Amino acid sequence: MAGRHSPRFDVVVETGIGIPARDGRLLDGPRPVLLCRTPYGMARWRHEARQLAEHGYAVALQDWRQTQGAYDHDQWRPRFEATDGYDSIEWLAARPWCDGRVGMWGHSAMGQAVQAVMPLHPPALASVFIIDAGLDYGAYPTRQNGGFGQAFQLRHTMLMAEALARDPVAKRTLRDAYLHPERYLAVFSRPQAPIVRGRSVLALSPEFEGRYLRTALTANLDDPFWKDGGEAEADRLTRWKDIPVCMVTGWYANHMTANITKFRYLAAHRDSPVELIIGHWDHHMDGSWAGAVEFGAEADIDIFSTIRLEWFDRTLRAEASAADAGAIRYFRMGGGTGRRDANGRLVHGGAWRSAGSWPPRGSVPVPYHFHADGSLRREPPAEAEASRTYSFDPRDPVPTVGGNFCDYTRPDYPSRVGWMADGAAQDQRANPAKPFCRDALPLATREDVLVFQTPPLAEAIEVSGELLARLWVSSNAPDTDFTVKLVDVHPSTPDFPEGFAMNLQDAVVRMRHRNGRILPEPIVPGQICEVELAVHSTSNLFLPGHRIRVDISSSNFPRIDVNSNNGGPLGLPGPVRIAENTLHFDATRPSHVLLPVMVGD
Amino acid sequence: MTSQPRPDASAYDVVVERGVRVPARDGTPLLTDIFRPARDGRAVEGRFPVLLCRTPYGRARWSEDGVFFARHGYVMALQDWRQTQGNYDMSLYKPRFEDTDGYDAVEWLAAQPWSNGRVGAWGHSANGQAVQSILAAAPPGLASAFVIDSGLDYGAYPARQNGAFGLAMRLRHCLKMALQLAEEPHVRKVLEDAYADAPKYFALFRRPQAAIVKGTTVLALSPHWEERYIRIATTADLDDPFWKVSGAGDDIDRWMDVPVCFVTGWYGNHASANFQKYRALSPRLKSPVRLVVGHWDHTLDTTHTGGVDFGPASDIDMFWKQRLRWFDETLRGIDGGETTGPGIRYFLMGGGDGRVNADGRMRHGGRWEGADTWPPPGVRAVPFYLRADGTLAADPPAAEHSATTFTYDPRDPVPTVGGNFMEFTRPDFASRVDWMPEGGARDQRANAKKPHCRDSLPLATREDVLVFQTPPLGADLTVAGELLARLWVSSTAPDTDFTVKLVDVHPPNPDFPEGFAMNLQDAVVRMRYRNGRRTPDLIEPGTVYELELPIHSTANLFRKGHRIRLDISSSNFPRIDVNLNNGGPLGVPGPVRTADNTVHHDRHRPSHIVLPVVAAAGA
Repeated sequence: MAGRHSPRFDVVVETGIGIPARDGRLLDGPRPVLLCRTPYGMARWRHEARQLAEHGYAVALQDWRQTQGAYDHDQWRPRFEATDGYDSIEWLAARPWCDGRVGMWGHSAMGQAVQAVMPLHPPALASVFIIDAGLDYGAYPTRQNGGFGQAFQLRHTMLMAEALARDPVAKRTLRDAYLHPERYLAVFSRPQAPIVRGRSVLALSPEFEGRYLRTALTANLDDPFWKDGGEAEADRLTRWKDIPVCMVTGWYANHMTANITKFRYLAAHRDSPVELIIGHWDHHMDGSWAGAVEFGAEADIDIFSTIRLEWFDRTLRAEASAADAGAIRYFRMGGGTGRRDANGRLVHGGAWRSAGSWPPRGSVPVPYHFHADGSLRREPPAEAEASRTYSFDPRDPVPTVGGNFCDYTRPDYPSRVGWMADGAAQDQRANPAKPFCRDALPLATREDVLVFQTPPLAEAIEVSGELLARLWVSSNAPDTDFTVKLVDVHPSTPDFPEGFAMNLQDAVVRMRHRNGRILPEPIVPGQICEVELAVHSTSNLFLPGHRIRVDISSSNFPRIDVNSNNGGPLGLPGPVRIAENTLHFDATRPSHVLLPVMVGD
Repeated sequence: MTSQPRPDASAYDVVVERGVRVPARDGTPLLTDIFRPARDGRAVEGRFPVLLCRTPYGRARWSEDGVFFARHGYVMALQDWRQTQGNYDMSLYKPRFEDTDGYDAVEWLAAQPWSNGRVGAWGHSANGQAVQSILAAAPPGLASAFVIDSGLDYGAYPARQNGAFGLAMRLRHCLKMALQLAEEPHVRKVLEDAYADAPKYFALFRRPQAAIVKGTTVLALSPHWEERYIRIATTADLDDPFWKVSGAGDDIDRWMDVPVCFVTGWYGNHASANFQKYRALSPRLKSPVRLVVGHWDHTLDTTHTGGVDFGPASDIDMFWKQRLRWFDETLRGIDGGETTGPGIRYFLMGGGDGRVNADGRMRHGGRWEGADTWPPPGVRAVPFYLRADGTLAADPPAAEHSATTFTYDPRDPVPTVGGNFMEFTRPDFASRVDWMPEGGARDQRANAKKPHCRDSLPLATREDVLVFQTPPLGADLTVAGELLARLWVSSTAPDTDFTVKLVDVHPPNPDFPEGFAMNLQDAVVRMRYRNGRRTPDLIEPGTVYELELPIHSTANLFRKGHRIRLDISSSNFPRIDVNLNNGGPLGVPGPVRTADNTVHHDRHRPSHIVLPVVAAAGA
């Protein structure tokens, strides 16, 4: 069934509507309507719509106006989604088969479209279910404390450029470039080579080349580019309609921290129920595994059918639910056997927990200090002076291995791209099958990765909450990057004889943006800066025999573009300088991470 | 490991008593296999001279030697070092009990009813080190010793060389130890793989600047050997207690007065140490002291070393015929001329036709010579000067200021090609490891098959290798003795390395159309240790330092038409770890700096090499 409607603009928005029926006839009586608006072509969600309709909802799938069925998502600029969403909700609420209550759901960009509507307070909007959408994408993940999310933007740009290319030859070439960018772009073999207008295959699509370059070149968050209608998305959060909101994310998902931010604000400022579910997942939000790690059968609670249906039943139909588990449900990772499962993944295990706030009650920030002997210990260092210096060469960066970003290399992902970095939880070793890796070695063997680790733990330690790194650093360059990565080191087993160094979370800071993205401030070469770096949240049980490890370095390529260390404009070719970067860990500069250790309920 | 038939030995059959527990003074049993001459399956009554070999590698590996000597009328005792008990566990440089245990073993053997009271000890490499420990302990029963390519004060060399760390050898050694002693099968398996294919596990092959850090590599599976490796890699100061080894017998002044034969090779690990020992002992001992120096590498057999063949005369069957003759003469009084000829027998390399042989090796040839002193009598120390035009000349330079500068980048070091270190890549070597650099005499070109090489180009084509060479020689020129480089150098860095390498450049022939640049000897100095290993002393960037760098000994005939070549650079990786040029602690990761290194060659700073030239016959 397809309908056509004319909202307040002279734009016709193609909409697919599913209405519950029996024996081929529409069911009598109005009922709640669920709406999902997408830039990716609504046909992809037909299956989900049918499922929800089978449970008695009328379901509307709608393309964003500018896309009309093609994949075109200018991620940071959902220009019409607020008003188009508003109009669509009100149009649906006025249909005879609607009981006047509209629920909205969306994953990723579609979730962003849900959020766009919230400040306009459409009267009929009664409940929303938002799956891993961010908040203020310009702040994150487009950039991360100033570091540019390069691989992600590149893939996204090439996919859109190809989808919207009209010339068949250009389309074919862009398709090939999407699948094999290392054949077209120097950046994989020469990380210091940014994309320059008119000089790469992206020039076949000047519009999308322009979009990529705007993102790559515009670090300043005050730039109008980052503001929709002059306002940042985070500011609009304060005006969200007071209706039940459920948000879902995962430890390895793109938008975990944004979801915690949203939850905290809404829980404090709204009367309606707000729920947050955090699984182990990456941005795909399904499966019992993420990356190369298996979290056990109970990890996958099936967001896309059971959980979503329960949510709308509870909030739109006032049907009591047995699964009312509390404000936050989170998956505490760890506790598994550490062996290899039939799919070749490490069995890390885990269990669901609930909490009223984040971090959960009983979580206490405990400093783990870096020491000159490479150990990570609770006691601070006593030396008057201790530090380690390494050379960070932008020509030879630390390759990305895992992290909280969408795993586009998943075998079952339709737009799979083998060249992308493997996301989520991975053993921390390079993979020469990737165009940005030069060997298959553990990252810890690199001399530009400083490794600090505890001895094998005598007792289990649970860490649940926000991670924070406090670093005293210096560099001989006017600008450089520092990265932090928290790792759960599984010991050697017959299945993983070298052990398995599983990344939990990581972060980067581009030093000129250490004090924020509004005003870049170069550093003074040689001067020691204290940097406080938020490393997202996690929840993990470090088992006895495991080690807690923190890796410090200055690159994570191609997830983050390399800093050429020259202090000049970002995203443009320029002189490439090797930086000598120093981490200090002595009595007056006790660099450490703060781990949210659970000390009991 | 021999290329020649054994001397016939039909005198006896052999019986073996395995696992005899010889008591040390503290009661610790020393596991010993005893091979006795026998007939009709029973040990022959009567007293025989006894030979002892003590080993950290597992005594069973020398059973063939036990049978051999028993058939020749000796009792042969093979004994494990106490802490090893059959395992390969040589804590290199730390033979803690080998003096007292060796003493006790000798005395026990001398007192047995089948013993005539005269014990000979022999050993190769670490086993030879144990013989030296016995010599220092001086048990009355010891009557003769035969020591095959063992060093002296291993902490001084080859663990390090003038302060630079002997990386590849130590890494291989520690991996071997770690895997031998691994208990869990899966740990052993991965360590076996790491031993066979280290570049799969260690970043340093592609990133020479990446030192091994505790807890970050596969070596962490063996914390003991990881610690041992890191101690050696980071402890350069010879005064450090780590290098003080009680049982090693390094105090040569205490060695007892018995006949001693040392064997080594120009490409052996310990040629210089053996000259040192010969020089210390021959004036002091009344008993005969002999030194045999072949062309060999540390394996001391065959007619070839590396990519070069030295002709049939070069292999004198060290392990069987020579060793037997030595003990026959010193323990049984059978005169074989072993103790009456010249004190030193050395192999003078060169003179061959330079063509390829059936095994693909270059025929360099050579012949045996004798001398009582080193260098041999009649040798003149002749300086060959470095000149701005790349020549190596008899005349010193006249220019007021002349120097050559090159940039040394530790990320891209000169690959090791040949040298006087054990060739673990030899096809017939049991623990063969292809990732190791190729030792012995080699044409000086990289080998892209090696993980530390990025191409297959001649080393001389690198811009960071300074090449100084004579014109093709108008007449043969023979060199025999110690080599010495005297260099005036400066650097932009607070510390860096300088390397020198002496090369015999064969002219092109149909088999080697680009010629064959054969390395003779080389050396390295880490500048902070230019004044010795006890006084690290960073250099002042830009200041010119005069260096006197000994380069081991050699004996080579440079034939007419060949060139004498001297290569100067700042790296030889992975034989030697790269210097990061940062002046900071050694053996740990740190900032990586390129250094602009300069060799001066003007009238005030006339850098040169001193060659020990043998006067031409009739000259």
